Amino acid sequence: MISNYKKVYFIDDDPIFVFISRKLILEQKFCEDLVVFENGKLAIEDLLDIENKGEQLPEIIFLDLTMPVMNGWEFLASYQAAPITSKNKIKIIVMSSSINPLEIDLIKSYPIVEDYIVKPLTPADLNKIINNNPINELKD
Amino acid sequence: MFIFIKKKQILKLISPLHSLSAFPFAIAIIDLNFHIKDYSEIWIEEFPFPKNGTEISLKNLNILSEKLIKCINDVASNHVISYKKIEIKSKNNNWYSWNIAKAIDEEGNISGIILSAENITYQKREIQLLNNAVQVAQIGSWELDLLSNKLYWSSITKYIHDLTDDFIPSLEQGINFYKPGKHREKIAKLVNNAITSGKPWDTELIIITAKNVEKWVRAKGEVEFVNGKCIRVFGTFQDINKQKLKDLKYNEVTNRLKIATKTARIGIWEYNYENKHLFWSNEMFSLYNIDKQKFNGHSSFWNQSLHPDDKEFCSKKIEECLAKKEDFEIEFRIIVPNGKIRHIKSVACVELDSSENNIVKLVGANWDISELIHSKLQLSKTEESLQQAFENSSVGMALISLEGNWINVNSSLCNSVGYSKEEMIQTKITNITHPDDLSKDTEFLKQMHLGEISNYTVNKRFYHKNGSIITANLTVTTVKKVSGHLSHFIAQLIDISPMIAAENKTKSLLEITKNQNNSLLNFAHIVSHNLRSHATNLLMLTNFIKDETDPNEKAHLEVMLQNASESLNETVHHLNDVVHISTNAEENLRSVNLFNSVKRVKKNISAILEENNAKCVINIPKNLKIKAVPAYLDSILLNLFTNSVKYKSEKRDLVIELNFKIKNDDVILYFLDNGQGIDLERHQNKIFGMYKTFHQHKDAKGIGLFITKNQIEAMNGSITVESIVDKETLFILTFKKAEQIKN
Repeated sequence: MISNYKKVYFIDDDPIFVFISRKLILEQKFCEDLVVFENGKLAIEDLLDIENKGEQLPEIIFLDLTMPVMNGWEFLASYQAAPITSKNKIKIIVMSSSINPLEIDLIKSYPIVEDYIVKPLTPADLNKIINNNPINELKD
Repeated sequence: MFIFIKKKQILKLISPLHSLSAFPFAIAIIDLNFHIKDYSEIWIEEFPFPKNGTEISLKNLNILSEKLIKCINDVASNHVISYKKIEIKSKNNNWYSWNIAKAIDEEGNISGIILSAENITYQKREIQLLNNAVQVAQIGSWELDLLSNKLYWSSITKYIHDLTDDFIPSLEQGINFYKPGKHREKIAKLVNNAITSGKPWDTELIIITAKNVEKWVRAKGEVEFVNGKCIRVFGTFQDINKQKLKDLKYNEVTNRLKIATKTARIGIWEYNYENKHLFWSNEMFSLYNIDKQKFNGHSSFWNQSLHPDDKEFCSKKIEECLAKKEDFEIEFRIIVPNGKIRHIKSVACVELDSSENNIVKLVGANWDISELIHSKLQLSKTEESLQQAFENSSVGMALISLEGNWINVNSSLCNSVGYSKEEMIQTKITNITHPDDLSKDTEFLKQMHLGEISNYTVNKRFYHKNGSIITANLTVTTVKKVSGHLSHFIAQLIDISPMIAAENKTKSLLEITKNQNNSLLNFAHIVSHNLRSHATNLLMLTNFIKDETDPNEKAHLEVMLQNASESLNETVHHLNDVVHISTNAEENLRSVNLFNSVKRVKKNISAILEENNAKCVINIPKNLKIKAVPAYLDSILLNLFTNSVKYKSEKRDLVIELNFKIKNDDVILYFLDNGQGIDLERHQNKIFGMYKTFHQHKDAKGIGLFITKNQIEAMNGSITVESIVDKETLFILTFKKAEQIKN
């Protein structure tokens, strides 16, 4: 089976969740390259570094909300302000254990957020992302 | 006429020259030289001759007056008049009626004068007296001779008609002096009636005199019949104008008084001291509701209706006044026959005799004052109840003059402002009004003075005697005088400070509840989030383990599962701690020495502090005590110290400085370090928050400040933070001061 996406970022500080999710994503051949960050700060620094070097940007970013140092909300704010050229080719999927409707509504109001997933991450969630974002459209 | 007849006889007797001595009255003959030629015995008795002298002349007698001489000369010299009659008062005050006639001799010559005198002194006096009486009484007389149809009026009658003596009235004129209308008709009728039936009359009528003056007269008349025929009508005529007018006036006044006393229901009474007789006016009987027939005139009559309870003081009072001969006023109750009680007021005047020593009579007026008494009672009851209401009202009440002075204040108001009634009355309402509220009702007062409004209500602040501020709901109402002008104000003050305090308390309670509700909701979400995180991990792990065939991988997953379970357990413990903080703090608060707590915590971590080369400056007095839960305080201090160590700057040695400040009931602790600092612009919201904390990070990062905040708030304190990145972090903690116990 051919992997759907070239590069996917996974920003979450929960090692158990990251371990299981990585296992799932690889099993599902969701992408060729999965990069994990413990918090938003590391992720945004990496994105800016790649942008500067002109390397391959991720097509999908999985983002947890609750993290130390820079949480999901702060990451979104930094990302919006960051000088990244082709943001429209990067889809951000927010993941959280929270089922607080206020929080869900708030996160969905961000235009740059593609979708919101209530943990755990399932194969159905991954399929839905693929269906909504066909690989060809993301390529150039 | 009588004299006249006699004179003829005299002449006959004289002519044969018989002596006059036997004549039964005083008569004399004189010659033209006044010598007495002959005289009767009675003459000599009446006019005794002087003893000396032989020639007896009339001139020697003191009876000869100028008037008599003139008459004698008249008769002697006049050929026509042979006789004259005259009444003359002699020098000895006797009145004589003189008859003077010529004595003619046989040749027809005048030989002398015959004089006869009748002593009429007695009659004259009678007439004089009568005339005097007539003059005084202004009684005139009149007479109508129906045979000759002649009317005679006496001079008084004429005088009454304002006529002169020489006026001769005719029959019509007589009637026409009566005032036209009923007066004239009445006299005509009376006269006719008298003439036809002989009935006399006595009436009072108005005449209009010659001078056109109206005058009341009393006209009396009677008639004389001869052979069944009226020949004469005569009577008297009296001017009674003054008396009549007085009478009329008197009647008018009396009537008026009668009507007045009757309509005013004033009873008049009179007690005659001399004959012990009591008089009651009609009104007295209706006042006492007693039948007039039963009245016996006894002095005891008045007090038989008297209320038994009033008898003693009444008689005492009356006796006192009578002893002093003073007028008196007295109020008493009577019981009228139907059993009802009437209140009577009696005013009595004492009338003394000319010596002013003895009471002649008592005159008094009584009237019913029951209604007045009842009204008074009613009024005093109303006043009393109003006074009671005023005094005992739970609302502060006051009467305030137009100038703002307290006229009267009730105890409720005194209690509200802490002043006594006496202190209040010395001052003005403006003196205890909050200056910012003084002009709050100026506009209302203006409208009140203009009569546009009669009351208003405002909220005003007043100063209690102890200086505290009372918020009151003030209602002011005007009271007007009878003239319609403002008299004073009635103010009602309801102290609404407790209500406002209660309202504020309710508001703050509501605020607290709202906050607690919010934090509970937040907490619920946090709990949900954190528990779900673990649940999710456990679910996913078990799914993988179930399908995993590689034993190595399976073993790896099982380790993971073990970790996840431990994390869940840890999370549940943390949550339990937080719940415990929120629920049990209040009752465990006690006085804790802050300095000792700081020292103890510092000692516990002295190893770490030394290892990091940290320096602590503790500027806290040794005896400063705060209200705290000791375990919480230790936990908070421990967390702050370890945070400072954890986030110390790599560029310099760590310095921690603790300072304090006392503000009112609060103790403020300043915890300052020179570490990395916190970018508050980014982290303000989450610094005390509960983040992804219940994970297996080795320092349980994030839970610390959240728990710190919860602990300090549970002790009624607060915590805030100020920081400059890469320079310093300052935590400001507020605690409640413990009551200072001396020594």
